[in-house]
Amino acid sequence: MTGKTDVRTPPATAIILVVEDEPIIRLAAVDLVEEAGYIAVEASNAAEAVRILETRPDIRVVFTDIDMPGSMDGMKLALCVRDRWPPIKLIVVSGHHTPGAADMPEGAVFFSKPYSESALTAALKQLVGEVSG
Amino acid sequence: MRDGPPGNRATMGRFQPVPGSAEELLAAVDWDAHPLGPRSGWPAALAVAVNIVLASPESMYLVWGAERTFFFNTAYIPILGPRLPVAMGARFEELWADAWPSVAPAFLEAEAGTSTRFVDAPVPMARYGVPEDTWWTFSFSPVRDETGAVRGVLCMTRETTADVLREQARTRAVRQQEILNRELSHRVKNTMTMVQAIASQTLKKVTERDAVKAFQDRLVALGKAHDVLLHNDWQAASITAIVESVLTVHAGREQWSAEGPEVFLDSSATLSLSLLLHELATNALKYGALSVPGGHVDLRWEIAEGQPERDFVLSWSERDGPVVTPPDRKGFGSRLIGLGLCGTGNAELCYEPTGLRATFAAPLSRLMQAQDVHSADGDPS
Repeated sequence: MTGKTDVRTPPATAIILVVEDEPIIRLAAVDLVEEAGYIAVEASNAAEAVRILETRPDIRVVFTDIDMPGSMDGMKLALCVRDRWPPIKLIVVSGHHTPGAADMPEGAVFFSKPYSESALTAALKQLVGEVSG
Repeated sequence: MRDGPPGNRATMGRFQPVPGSAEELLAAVDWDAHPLGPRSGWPAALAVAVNIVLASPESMYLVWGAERTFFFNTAYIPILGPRLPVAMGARFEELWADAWPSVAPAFLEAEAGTSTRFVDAPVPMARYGVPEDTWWTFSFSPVRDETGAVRGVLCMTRETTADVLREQARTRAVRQQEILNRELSHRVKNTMTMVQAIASQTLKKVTERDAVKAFQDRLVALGKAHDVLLHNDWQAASITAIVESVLTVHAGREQWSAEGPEVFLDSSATLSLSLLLHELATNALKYGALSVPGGHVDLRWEIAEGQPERDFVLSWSERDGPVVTPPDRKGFGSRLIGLGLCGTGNAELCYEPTGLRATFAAPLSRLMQAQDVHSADGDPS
């Protein structure tokens, strides 16, 4: 929670790109990222996410839904990020698919929707820690 | 009920052709002008075979001789459709030119002395001028004369197109239902995610964070139960998969064990068991065996012979945890546990010095309403 001091929280400068087409779910996801102490940047589809990534080299983690309209879904986006921006960490979520480890980009973490907010926050902190460390 | 064809009323051993019957059609053919010649001169084997065909209530035909002359009985008439007027005495492969390619191999085998039988075999034909798919259950058998030589082929046949189409429609409907189920459960999960987002925003300023977390966690448990069900198109879920899905969230694999026969639960039992296990595991994590590193939970289940029917019995035993005491107030979690499996209320909780021991029982049929209990648990009886 905000207001509490968590010694493990890295400096609140890590920037997380949240990609989710459903506005209310995106709002809650952005909130989760900010509650965890990070800065959230939003995209509502994969194409928009790629445009942001092309202009902002400071994104540390991409947190994306799989099921989104458009020619590129979240899984393709994740694979593209792994290919073009290898240092960026990935969190992939979906209410429809449960991808096997083989389908996922290396190092990506998957959560089924609805996800446990505390478990997702923990995963986010660990990934940011990995980047920082 | 006797169901005799109209054409086989015999008087003193002679046929009295009924109008529209195969006998009448046979009598109308100008046999003197036919390669087989007048009926009086037919070989005995042909006369007998024709009489057998005419007398049978099963639809059948006979193909005779090098000319492959076609004979059929009254029961076969509806199958001929528009070709009926020219059928009796026609050359088989000319009359059935549209179907000949698909039946020829088996027919030629019968001419060579071997019988064959087909069930629901597809035979494309153009009975009414347009190509159509038809299905038939039929057999070809050789007809031999007194010397043992094959002279003809007998075919007993029944059109099964209507049955096959009905079965295909049923299969299609089942598949559509599966697609619909899948689509629907996707929507249900979307809605659950929306509920979660709305709740986390709405309850943001609530100071009782435990209650908010309990709600969120139950919603996640319900979502996971849906995931397990989705694996089997929402029909049934493996109990092992349900147990694994719930417990891995709460404890490391070394802290719990699960043992029991594989049972497939229907959707409502899956949701019920998932929430029940979620509450037990949440409590164990807060107050019980899962709250300390060395604690264990042993989950066992069995099918017990009972009266009047078999019971599914599940036991949850905690050990190596802290000393536990019964909760002093009945929250929603305790009430969920008290409901037992599928709301049967059959729940026994013992707070023993070694840890909580809980036993739940429900009639097996209650947990598998949407399926055949015997086939689902591997019992062939």
